[in-house]
Amino acid sequence: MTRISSSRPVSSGAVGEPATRRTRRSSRDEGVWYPRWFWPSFSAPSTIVLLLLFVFPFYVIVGVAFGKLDPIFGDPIPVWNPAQWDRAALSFTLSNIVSSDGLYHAALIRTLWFVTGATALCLLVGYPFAYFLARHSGRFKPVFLAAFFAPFLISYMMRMTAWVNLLQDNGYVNQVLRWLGIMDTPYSWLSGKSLTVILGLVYGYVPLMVLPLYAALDRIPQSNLEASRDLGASPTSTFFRVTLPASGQAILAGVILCGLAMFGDYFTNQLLAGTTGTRMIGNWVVDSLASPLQVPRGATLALLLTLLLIPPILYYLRSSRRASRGVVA
Amino acid sequence: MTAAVAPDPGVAAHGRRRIRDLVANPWGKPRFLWAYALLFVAWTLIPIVLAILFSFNPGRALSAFQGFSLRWYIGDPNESVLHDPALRRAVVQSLKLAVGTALITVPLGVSFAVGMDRWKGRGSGTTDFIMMFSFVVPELIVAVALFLVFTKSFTFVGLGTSGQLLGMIVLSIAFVVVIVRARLLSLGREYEEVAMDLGASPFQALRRVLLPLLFPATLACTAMLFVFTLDDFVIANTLSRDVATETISVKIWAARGTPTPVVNALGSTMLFAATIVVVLAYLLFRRLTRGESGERSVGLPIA
Amino acid sequence: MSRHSEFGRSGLSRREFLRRAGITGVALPSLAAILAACKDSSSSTTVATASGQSNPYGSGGVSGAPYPLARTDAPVTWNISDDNQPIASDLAPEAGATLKIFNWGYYLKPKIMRDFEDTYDCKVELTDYSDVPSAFQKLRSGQVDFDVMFGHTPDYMGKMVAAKFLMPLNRDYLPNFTANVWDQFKSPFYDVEARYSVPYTVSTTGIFWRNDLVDADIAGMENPYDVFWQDPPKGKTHLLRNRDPLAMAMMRKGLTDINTGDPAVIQQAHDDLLEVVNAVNPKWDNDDYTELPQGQAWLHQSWSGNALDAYVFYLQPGQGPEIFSYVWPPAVDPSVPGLVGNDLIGVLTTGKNPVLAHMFVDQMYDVATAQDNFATYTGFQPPLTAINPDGLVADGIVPPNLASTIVKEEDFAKGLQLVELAPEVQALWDDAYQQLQAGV
Repeated sequence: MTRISSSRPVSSGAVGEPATRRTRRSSRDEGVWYPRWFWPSFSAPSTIVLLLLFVFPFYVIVGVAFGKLDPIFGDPIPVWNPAQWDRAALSFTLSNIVSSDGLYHAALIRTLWFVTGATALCLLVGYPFAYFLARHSGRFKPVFLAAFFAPFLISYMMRMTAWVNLLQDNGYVNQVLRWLGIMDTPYSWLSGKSLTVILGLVYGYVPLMVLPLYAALDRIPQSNLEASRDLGASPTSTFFRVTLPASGQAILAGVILCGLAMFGDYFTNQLLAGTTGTRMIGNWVVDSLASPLQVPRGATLALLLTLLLIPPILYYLRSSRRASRGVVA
Repeated sequence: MTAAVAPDPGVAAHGRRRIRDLVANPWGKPRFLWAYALLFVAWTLIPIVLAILFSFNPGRALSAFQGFSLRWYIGDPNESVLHDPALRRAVVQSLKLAVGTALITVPLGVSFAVGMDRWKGRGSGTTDFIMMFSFVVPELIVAVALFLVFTKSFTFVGLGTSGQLLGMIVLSIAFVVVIVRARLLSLGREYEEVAMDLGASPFQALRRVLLPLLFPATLACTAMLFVFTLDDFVIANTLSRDVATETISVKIWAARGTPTPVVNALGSTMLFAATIVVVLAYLLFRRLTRGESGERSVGLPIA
Repeated sequence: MSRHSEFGRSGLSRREFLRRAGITGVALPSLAAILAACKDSSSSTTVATASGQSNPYGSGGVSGAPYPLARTDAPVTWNISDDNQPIASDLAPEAGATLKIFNWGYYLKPKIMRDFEDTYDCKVELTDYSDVPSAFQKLRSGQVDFDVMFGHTPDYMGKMVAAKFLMPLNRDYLPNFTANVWDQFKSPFYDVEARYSVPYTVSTTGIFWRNDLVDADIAGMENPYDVFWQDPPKGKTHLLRNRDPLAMAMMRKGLTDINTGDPAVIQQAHDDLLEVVNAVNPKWDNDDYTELPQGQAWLHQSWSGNALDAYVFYLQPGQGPEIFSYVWPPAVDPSVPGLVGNDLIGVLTTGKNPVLAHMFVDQMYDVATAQDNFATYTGFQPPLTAINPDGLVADGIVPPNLASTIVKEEDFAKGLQLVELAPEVQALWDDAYQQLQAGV
């Protein structure tokens, strides 16, 4: 991974002393010297926390995934030495993902569909609102910001539970639809419908999409748009040739944030449907924790999921680094 | 957007142009966007408003609004939020975790961001990558990993409050870093350089110039972390040990098969707590940034 | 016979031993255990003993697991080991304690806990679990300190005793239990002399439906279970979890060995249920007591207590009990099998307040308390002699059209019970259930 070129901190010297050893340095660092350990030590506490509680746990997952089971109760016992790993859980999980009548196959495919659909919807639904918030809300901006921020203040659970109430057969949603004349017989929203789950995911995660979009759209200088118009572009053209590209990185950020978060979601489905036909891969991971014999399989699933998600994460990280280099502060 | 200067072609042509503009670029005309925004806000908020309304139902039903009663908040001697020890505990536990996480993670995250922003040496890229990875990886994976760690390896930590706290801290560091880093980017190095040119040591420059400048961002992070952690579900659920360590979200989830208005009362209580914190933070923020000029995104030029 | 052999590691292979045992006429374990024993020993994770042998954990039962597996015709007497003795009698209850209860959700009236707090000047906390396997998993984590556990089932007795989670009960603290419980629970087959457990509630497993929304006359059908296969309401049909639905598929075909380890039988049950899954996409839960009043489910495989609880706990405004119906097939036609069972209360060794724990258990046998819990909160009937099943309708506790939810002592002779399975057999059932959850 390439980074911005910069100077290396030189051996401690008093402020203002000319450097004796220096490599490439940016103009920003001219005249400022810090001891070499100075900045890394700032990052040390967090790094230690991350290493112990983020990096190491992944190795524990690996250890459990390839580990043994307690002979009497079937509890998982992690195995640390790669030479002693037992691949049974891995082969079971892989075969159940790959073959079309495998346990996890349908759920994985379905999760991919759900996430793609819900993320696309989030983008479609959230972008206009972010655009409005950034550019057209005028003096009502604080009001709309507050209104937008309000769902964050309320438990996700509570928001979903609220929808469960509304979506009952005799709930308000059906009543409104009937009053509007759109449907006569009540639609059973909660009887295992994929549509309900997707809409639920959209409702739950659209704030995550709006946030980066708003930040980016807010930052586009008005002068850019005016210049575009001055050069003869129509509003549509301006949008597609100035606004949209400028928000491109934010769109990617929103898609990644939303999509990845949805991937691990298991509770939305449980609340809004909970049937075989809407089961997501997160449900399999979390259910496996509850039964000792299946913990290794669950750990393997978690591992495979993480591996699956690494490419999009890497792509996002690389492109955001590239973008941050070009950002005008 | 300013209109291009052009000769006036007459009223009819104006009307045609407006319609054409409206159709050609629906985003361009604020009217449509206004309607859309209002609909969006309604869609977001109406279920919540209704849920809060239902929390005042005197009976057990949740399908219709039946009247006003504080039964589920303080009235019912067994099942209300005030009287049911499990629910009271849930409120306390949520607050404990939220405050703890906010107070611990913000210093960690700020120091990390400051360090990473200036550390250009070896290893910074990897550390940065790990941090960003923790930001985007699904919470479930981290929760599962920590569950295994706390039950198999670090059993001295174990499940329960400490486990939950550590889990939330790990997930939140990246959030603080992202925000503080953006702020640092806009601040630039100038302030510290000026300070050091005027004779301050690096530490002094940091302590007396940079940190105060970062304070609004820090405050915003603290408030937001408090609010997000208050409502966290996956970590709290996976790493809970018994009812004493269950948070509000976990209780709401546990009651999903048997919903009674007490669940709504619980959620409303949390909303109330979160709103207070946010309002306070906002007022404080306004007060602190009173001196700064409007747009946060522009750094001041140095003479 | 007092021989004690280890299989798969040294000495005789399983087949060899069973062959010889057969020749010497020793009572053989059930087909399930034989099949389990015949599996390749490298895949086995258990040490099995011959049937009828004493075992470090107890005597009786059948083999197939490290602990004896109780059967209705092979009861188990659990050992009381030196490192897990009952508490002494006449101790004072712990002062200023927090009694921690581990139970299903909404399965113990909160008022009972609050009253106990007042009486004994302590705090009572209830942590809930969503099913017995995950509850057991939580106990295995070794990080919890619950005092009393409610709602675990006899098919977990072996594991609970072997893991030393259950404390042997001191009957001196349980006068109400001794005085009031049904005779058959003074020494049930899964716990002779009731050393480690007392029953909490009794229930049958049958079919529960909204008669205003479902037209079929389920009670009048020759084989009521068929309703799930003959055009059940799509999206409104729910089933129970784990073994119950598979057992129902077996009983529908008239099979009575619902604790079988025969892979072919389990596979057939799975295939039958897969038809239902593909037809109506059911939900797997036991929330019928809220779902049917709300109309989220119209037809549910149910425990009798939940059926009654829909009326007791969650009737919606404007509803009356007449819209609910419950049937337990053996009550209507003895030739159709049906499940009956009970769950348990136990004192846990993980707890810090065993005296208070005993007292709490005993108060559940106080007739007024038990009746209050049953009639106004859980809907699940406690096996107390003072609560006369025949009088429940007359007393207004059970509405007439839900009289079929009442459980009588003789039902236990009519019905089949789910018992503890050998780990390999349990794995077969778990796999079948998981496949159904996945829709394959």
